[in-house]
Amino acid sequence: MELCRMEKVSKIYAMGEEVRPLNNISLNIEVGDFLSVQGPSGMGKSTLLYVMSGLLKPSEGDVFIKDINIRNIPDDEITDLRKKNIGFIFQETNLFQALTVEENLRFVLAVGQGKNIDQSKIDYYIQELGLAQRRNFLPNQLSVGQRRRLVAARALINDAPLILADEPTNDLDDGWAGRVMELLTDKVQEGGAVVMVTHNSYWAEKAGKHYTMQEGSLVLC
Amino acid sequence: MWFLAWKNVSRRIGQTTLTVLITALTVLTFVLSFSVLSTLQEGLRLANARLGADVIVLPGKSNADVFQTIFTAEPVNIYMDKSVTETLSAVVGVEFITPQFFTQSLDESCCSIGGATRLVGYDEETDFILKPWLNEQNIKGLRDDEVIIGGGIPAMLGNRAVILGGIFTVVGSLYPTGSGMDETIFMNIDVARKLAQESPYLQSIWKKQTPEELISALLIKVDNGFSPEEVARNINELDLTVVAVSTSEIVSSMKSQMDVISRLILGLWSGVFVVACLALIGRFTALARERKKEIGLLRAVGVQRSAVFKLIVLEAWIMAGSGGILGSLLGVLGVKAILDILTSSMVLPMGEWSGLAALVSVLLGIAVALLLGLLASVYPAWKSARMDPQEAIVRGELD
Ligand SMILES: Nc1ncnc2c1ncn2[C@@H]1O[C@H](COP(=O)(O)OP(=O)(O)OP(=O)(O)O)[C@@H](O)[C@H]1O
Ligand SMILES: [Mg+2]
Repeated sequence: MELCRMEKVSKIYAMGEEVRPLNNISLNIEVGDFLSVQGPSGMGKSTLLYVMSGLLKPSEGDVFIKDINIRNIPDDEITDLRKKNIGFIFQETNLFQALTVEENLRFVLAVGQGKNIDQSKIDYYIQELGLAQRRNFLPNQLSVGQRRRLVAARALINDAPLILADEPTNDLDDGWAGRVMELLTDKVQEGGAVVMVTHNSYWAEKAGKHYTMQEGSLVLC
Repeated sequence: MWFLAWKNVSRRIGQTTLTVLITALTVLTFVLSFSVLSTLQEGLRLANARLGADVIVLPGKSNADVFQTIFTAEPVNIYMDKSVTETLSAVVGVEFITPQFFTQSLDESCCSIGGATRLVGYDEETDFILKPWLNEQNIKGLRDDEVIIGGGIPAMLGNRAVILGGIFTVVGSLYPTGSGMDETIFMNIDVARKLAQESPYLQSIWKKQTPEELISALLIKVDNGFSPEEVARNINELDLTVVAVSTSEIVSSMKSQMDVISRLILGLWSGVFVVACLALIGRFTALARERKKEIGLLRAVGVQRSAVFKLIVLEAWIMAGSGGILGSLLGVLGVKAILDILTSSMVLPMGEWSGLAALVSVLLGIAVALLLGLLASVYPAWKSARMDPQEAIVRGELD
């Protein structure tokens, strides 16, 4: 089953000097896919994920989420599609600053599932990612690695089928990086898909398909 | 959403306090000016409705006496010959005319009122001022040892009062009128004259004429078909060394003065409101910019634009609402004090400052606060809601 498809997508940033990080990219992501995307810094890897998630409009080409072309649908519907289908692990460890670790997860879960929150899910990810001792801490009281883990938990907690992971193992020691990778692998095995951007060749190896980003194009290795 | 809004507000305590303070002060100034102005307006309305007389005639002096006579209870020891009554009852347009005799109690004297109080002797035969009230209370007339007190004097029915050495029983207290009547003690005219005659402190006044021959004021009700202004003019044209003024004229001149002041105060307050609005727009815009990443994140996890908009307005409302409640409550506490200062330092008719008025002020104050919050947050909320999520997340606070 197809989760996301890009057809001849280009992205041009036109603020000041023109930058074209994505150039005529076509890509198809199906259930069971685990893609890794590598490439030099500033090449457009993050841009690729933003375009896939509908958070950024492509300059040319079409993006389909679950077979729906998001070019001409209202923003509300794109938001809804994203909510149901995509979990995003951002490269930045951005969190809701006024909410504790647990509240950050609960809020996102509530956005996804409405009032009836499944507390066991929150407990599961807090446990799995070693945040149990920090449950009631605010984000600014966490270490960078703890924040990164929380960002990963947040992306996974809504059971979205497609996870877009931008450098999910950054700031983490091998132990915790491995744990995050396991969770991503689980996702693929449970009938989802993962697109992972990384600089780390070791973790990139764990993916099923390997891409490199070069001059705006994705090259399969 | 409520949860996030509440946490955002309560966990940014410094930011929140400042916003709450700005709103509270704005609302405080609003509640104070609104309550004071409305109490004054109410006082005027009451004074107009309940003064009872259309025209008041006083011994010929300046107009200041008229104000003082009507709107305060300060003793005014002014007198004219009682024959004026006869003369004036013949004036065209005068339907009823009744004399009053003013004197004063002394500092130590009556009830719980501090200072000297005006005593008014009224003429039972011709009176039409107290009559409606007396009829209502089924009181035929006052005995010589009985008094009626104004609505503003705290005393119980049946209380004894010692006035200038005489012992009196309080048989009733009038409705509040917002005028000097509220703090006046009424008694039979002859009793008042006798008290005045015997009071050792007032002897110097009785050199030329004794109280029996004197009156202090004449109250006139005009015939249907005549305007009070007309009748007052007729009387003044007689050249009797008395002044006649129509009460509605006084009230309306007072009202127009007050309207100017009201407009001035409301104008100044609007200025305060605009300044507060601008300050809060600045604050909320800065806050929204500071939180750009978070707002981008909201959009990324599936929160709609409209919900982002609501979140920011809601946060503004929580802060402004608390400010409103705080400001209103402080205002209500402060109003009493301000009204007291005003009454004691100025000649003004005052309405009652009641629980209902307090409630209205609080509700209006909160409404003002919410309006302020809305006005100040709409623009930042709208901007945040239509922000491009990727830019918001990646580029953060840079505009
Ligand atoms: N909002 C934007 N406006 C203008 N240019 C942008 C914007 N966002 C990204 N860029 C530019 O697009 C290019 C690709 O950025 P992107 O973040 O996708 O790179 P990346 O491959 O993820 O880099 P890194 O590995 O360092 O994270 C960069 O040159 C960047 O300067
Ligand atoms: Mg990147």
